Amino acid sequence: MSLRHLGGLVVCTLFLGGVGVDAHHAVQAQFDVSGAAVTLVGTLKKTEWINPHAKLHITVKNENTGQMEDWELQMAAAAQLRRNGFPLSVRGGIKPGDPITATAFVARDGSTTGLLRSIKFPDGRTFTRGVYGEADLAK
Amino acid sequence: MTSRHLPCGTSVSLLLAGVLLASAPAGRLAAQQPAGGAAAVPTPRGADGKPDLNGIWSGGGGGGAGFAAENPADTGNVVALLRARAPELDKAVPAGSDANYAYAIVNFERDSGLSQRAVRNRPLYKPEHWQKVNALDQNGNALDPAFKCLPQGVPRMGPPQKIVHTAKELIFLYGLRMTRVIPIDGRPLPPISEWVGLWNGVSRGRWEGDELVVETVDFNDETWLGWPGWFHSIDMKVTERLRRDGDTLRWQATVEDPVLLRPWIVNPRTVRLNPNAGAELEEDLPCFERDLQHMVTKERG
Repeated sequence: MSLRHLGGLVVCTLFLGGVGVDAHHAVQAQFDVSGAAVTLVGTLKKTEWINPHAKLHITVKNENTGQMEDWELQMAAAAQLRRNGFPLSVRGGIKPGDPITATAFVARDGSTTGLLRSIKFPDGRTFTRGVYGEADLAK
Repeated sequence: MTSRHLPCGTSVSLLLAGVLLASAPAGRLAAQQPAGGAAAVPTPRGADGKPDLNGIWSGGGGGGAGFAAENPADTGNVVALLRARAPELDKAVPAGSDANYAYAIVNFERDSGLSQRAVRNRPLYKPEHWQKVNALDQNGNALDPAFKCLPQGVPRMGPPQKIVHTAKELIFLYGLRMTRVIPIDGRPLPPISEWVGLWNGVSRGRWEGDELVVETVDFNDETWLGWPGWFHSIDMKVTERLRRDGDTLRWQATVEDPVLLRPWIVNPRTVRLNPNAGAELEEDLPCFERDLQHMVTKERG
């Protein structure tokens, strides 16, 4: 796993277990799910309500290069997120520009993509339930 | 076993307990409380006396090989719940009963693909096709049509998410941007000379007593029967049987195909009527595959 993109913004967080299910791909082939999750601090760029996974885009500053990077974080299916109470940006929840703190398993190919594990909203709430297809088992 | 596996195992146990609790009532209802019984919910019937299949049925729409949503309040079925296969679960129920699914374990670990392939109920292919099945499976992340946002097809879609039942036809809605219109007016299946090769085939429905039988032919060979490279030919015939008892609907499909040694009986599914009369289907979202480009191995699961 490469952490070079993350610079000083990274705080490694180990999640103890947590069994999930994914309606789509083998995330093992794509993300370093056996490693530690990283913490990304940035601002919301956009959310994509598409299948097979909803996507969350966060703009994060790379402390090493000073460049702003777009991190695309894979979430569960949109319908599942809605049932679990994930706020829709167009309804007064999160909106572009809001400060966001997310934890994610990073991509194995070194790209700025990840598998979302939790998200902390501007009002302080932390959403972990089914962010990538699992029930709320990690708590 | 590493220390990381310990909480995972605990979670699997908790989830299994949940699966048992969630699935057991539906199975018992179907098996022990037939329509008309003192404790059963009456089966509503249409003018022709046949069971009324109208409604939103929780648990349809995807993952016919083992996934099912259990919450009757769910209005959508994009969710796929983990249905872990456990030997003790298989032993606890009579063979052939609704609870006897061949669940797959999805644990996101490196061995997850192996676990998912260890399902008990699988189609038996003729030996000349074993190598193809294996090759498709090994390259499934790139080749599985469901992973590429292509239609899952029949019977992989499982039971429908919503049924509109009229006197002459049934409309199955799947929540996967898929709809099937199935005549039940007695017309025959098209002869093979008229087949064109379709994702969902051509279906005809008829009643056998209180059981709706839907026969489907005229498929293409683009869809799979299931995750582990289970392909089918254009000569496949699928026979689905749907039976409503009270507020449950039991769905079962049998696949006949020259590539198989014998017909494959898909795991039966019992789905429940959404009790919310005002429930609406969620929008079917478009599907875009953008993950394959980031995959660095062929691991599956």
